[in-house]
Amino acid sequence: MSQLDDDLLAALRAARPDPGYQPSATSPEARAMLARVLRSREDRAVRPRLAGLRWRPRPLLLAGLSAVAGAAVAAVLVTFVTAPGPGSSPSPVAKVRAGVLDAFERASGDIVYATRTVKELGSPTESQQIWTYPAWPASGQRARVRVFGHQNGVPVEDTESIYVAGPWSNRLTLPTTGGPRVAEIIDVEYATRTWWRALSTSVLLAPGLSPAVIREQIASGGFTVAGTVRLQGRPAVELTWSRRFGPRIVMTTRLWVDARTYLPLQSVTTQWIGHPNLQVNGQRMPRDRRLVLGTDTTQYHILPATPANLALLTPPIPAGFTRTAHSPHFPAIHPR
Amino acid sequence: MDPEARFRAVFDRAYAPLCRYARHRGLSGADAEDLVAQTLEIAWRRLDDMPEAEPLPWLYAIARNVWRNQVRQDRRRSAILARYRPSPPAAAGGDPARLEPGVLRAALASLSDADQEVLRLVAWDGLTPAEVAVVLGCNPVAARSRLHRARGRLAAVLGLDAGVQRRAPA
Repeated sequence: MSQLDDDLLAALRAARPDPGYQPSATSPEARAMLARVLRSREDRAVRPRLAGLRWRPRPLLLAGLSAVAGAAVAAVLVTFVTAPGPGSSPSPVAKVRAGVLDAFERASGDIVYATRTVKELGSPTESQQIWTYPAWPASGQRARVRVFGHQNGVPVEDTESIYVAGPWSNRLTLPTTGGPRVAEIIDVEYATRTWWRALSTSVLLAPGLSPAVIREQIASGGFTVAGTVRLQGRPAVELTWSRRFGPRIVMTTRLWVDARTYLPLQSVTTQWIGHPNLQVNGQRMPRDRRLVLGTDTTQYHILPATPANLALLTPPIPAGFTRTAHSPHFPAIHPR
Repeated sequence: MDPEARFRAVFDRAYAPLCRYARHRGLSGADAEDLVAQTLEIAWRRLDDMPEAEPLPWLYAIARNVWRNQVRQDRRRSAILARYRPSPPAAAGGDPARLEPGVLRAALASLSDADQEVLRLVAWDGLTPAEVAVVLGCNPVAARSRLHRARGRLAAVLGLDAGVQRRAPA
């Protein structure tokens, strides 16, 4: 078409706004948009009330990741779908809930091995290897947890806790009230090259989004089915839930479960802040910018409870480490 | 190719053009993001309708509808836009290449919405008349005709003689 080549259209082409504007599909904001769009199809099915809302970032504020993680996962956050109505097919949430709880029941006698990485703004990266056995103990059942913590890749502390599970052990943080509890503790301190073994009134539970906490959350129905993705080479169902802390605090958890077995594969819990008047180090943040203050990423593996795997629940005492009579972390009932 | 992989490929290809489409319609920040995201969300839901070979004009058509709905729903913004629609600039005369970009944009903004859109699609979004036809939902002949008339009205606003602007064939 000859008009395309004429001077007027050429001049108009040169007058387009922002000729240097080069948005990238690989930018973080683009990838975040892609994730939201991919989730939107499922969201629309289960969240009709939200279908017309726009995606503009909301003002948010943050609390410390470790401080609120336990409280957040213990609460029912946002429930979009409850029980299906008469004659209707099960909702995605109901279907996934039933599948996950059934899978957890079938794997309840296995070992859950989790690798957890916690990154908090201004703090060194912490990682943990966590073994939990039985994976989902019944109340009254003897449970074992081992947590091997590293900081910037250097071993810090290796602890085993053996206790009798109860309703309280489904939470990350234990209240100091609620009756006496006791755990057998083996604690290896790498900084002091010491180890300690005793009965303690302090019970160490699996930290972060532990198997027990996941089960509590799923059982509550307080999650949204965000869609199906491929993760670790297999189809995975993505579940999400969020919780606000006051008007500006948000913690969002994304959990992926195997689409075939419904067992957990990975979780990412993010805390972030965004506010129209947010300032960081004296600099005003752009209005639509979110500041991620902490990310907790955990990957889960289900291990059969073989003798070899069960042996992994006991921390090895490195050569040259000496036994001490007192622990800086655990109040002893009496040494054993 | 499974649907998600197909959509991801389309996203990678269409994200930047759609962002520019929003920018060319005067949107920025969260408004531009809304337009792009809503367009892609609709495309994801209607993936089965998306043309395999060339999805971009089809996406532009969605974006255009989303944008028009946004403007229509936001009566206050529409009123402000109407109030500040610039008057046609004074006749420039002479060579269009010497026109200031601001004068050209002001002249464009003084045209009807339909004329603006067809000129923007060609000059700013880089579409061919056949692709414009997909966006506007008409046949290519009608798209060429609309472009020709819009271009003539733009030339008139600028005081240019459309007859002397055409390049001599090589």
